[in-house]
Amino acid sequence: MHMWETIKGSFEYGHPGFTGLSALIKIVYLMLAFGPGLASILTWMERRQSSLMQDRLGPNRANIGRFKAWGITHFLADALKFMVKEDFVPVKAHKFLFALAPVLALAPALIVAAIIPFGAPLCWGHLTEIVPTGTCGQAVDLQIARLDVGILFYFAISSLSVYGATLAGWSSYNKWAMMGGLRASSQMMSYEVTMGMAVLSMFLIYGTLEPGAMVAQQGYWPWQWGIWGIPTALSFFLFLTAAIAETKRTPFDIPEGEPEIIGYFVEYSGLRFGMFFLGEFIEIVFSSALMVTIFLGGWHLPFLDGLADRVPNIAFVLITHGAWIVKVFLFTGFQLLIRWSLPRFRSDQLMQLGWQRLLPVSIANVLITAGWILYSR
Amino acid sequence: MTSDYIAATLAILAGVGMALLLTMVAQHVGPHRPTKAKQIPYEAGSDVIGSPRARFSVKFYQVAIMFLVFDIEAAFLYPWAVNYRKLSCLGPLQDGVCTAGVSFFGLGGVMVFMAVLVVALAYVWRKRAIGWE
Repeated sequence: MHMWETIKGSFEYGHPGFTGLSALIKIVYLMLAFGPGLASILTWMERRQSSLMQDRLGPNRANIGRFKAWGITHFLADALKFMVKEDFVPVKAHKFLFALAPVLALAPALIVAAIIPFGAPLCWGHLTEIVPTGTCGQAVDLQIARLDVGILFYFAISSLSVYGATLAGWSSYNKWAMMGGLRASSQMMSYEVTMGMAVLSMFLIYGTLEPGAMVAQQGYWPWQWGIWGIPTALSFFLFLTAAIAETKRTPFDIPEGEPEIIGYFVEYSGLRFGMFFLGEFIEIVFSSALMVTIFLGGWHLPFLDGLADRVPNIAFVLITHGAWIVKVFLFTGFQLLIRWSLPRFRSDQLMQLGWQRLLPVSIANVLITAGWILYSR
Repeated sequence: MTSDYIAATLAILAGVGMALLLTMVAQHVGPHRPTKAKQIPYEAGSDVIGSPRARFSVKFYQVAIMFLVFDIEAAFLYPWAVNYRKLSCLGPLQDGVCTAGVSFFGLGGVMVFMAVLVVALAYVWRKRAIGWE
């Protein structure tokens, strides 16, 4: 009897069972399916695109029966290959920290998805009716957790991945891994500061740290988005630069310098290496999602004002979710394009850029934004 | 809301759980065939010289200390940024819009705070604590 009540309650709005179930569904969809799924496809996209830019064919052969699709199934082959490869642990490695490092690299990259709004709110019980914006009494937010500390949660969790890189480097008992780990930690710390400062001017404009409220403040038209304006465009540029440095990609790939030190994961093999690899691509996906949320209007579909007043709620939610996916995908594609377009920075240039160029500019940007808000009021 | 914090906790558990699951798969699915040559640290195939536990440049340590200082300063600015419109208004806000006159309290206060930050940055800059030369 009690069991039946719980199951029935799970379909009633406001019941604890309903809240828990909807949170679980969102977690499984966004964190465990969408994020890793898109990240896996990006690993193939990056390899294929790199090869095309270098006039090679690249990975185009994997197939399932007759299904080939330009070799897109390479990511499945890669995953399978990772699993059946030897799991190698160096003799002199610190066994516990060696096992902990890939967990610390992958888990934070997934967890940050919790604060990202990925569609317009669903109106439970009125899915097939037309529900104008803001009139729904039983709204289910398409966001795992609507925390007031929102973006601060993102930064707190994502900066944990520094430990993954540093511990991997130290615990492997390998000089190259050690160097890679040290470089990674100093680089990620240097750019973390700029990242926090750059986004500060966006907090000034929105007056909140909550991503859902930020998206609500942006409109349908592209000129109502966060990026529109001189101080905000600058902070977008600063944030983008710092975010690429955080994911340790070219032009900031000194910790993973492929031709010389390989990186902090040099002693890792099989699926554990795969966890570092996947974690990095998931970071690209969710940092793109965060930038889309703050600067590019989140799930707002451009040029279709008042769509909520014309189509049923469920269609509206799916359309906005689709718009969000397209934006995130285009943005991740843009981050991949940078890889073979820019030459790599030297280690001293990297520190100089972070501390002596980007940080002063982002501090100035905060003050300019504060002054601009007072003036334009 | 409390339910959002429960959802965030669930998300943290799911993320850590996924990572632990993959670690377990890695340990149990792949083969383990250690050989003597395989166990030498991989440093381009040449024999290992010295220990990875050797000393490293103090610059890395400096960067870590600077990060602590500046990141905490940035974290202090977050509540200021959220309350900025309230601080810049002489009267209470009406629906987020200020109807009274402009107050320079918010901007002036942060100018003093930022000045301390910039002095600190200029100091480490002059002392050449940033960057390798």
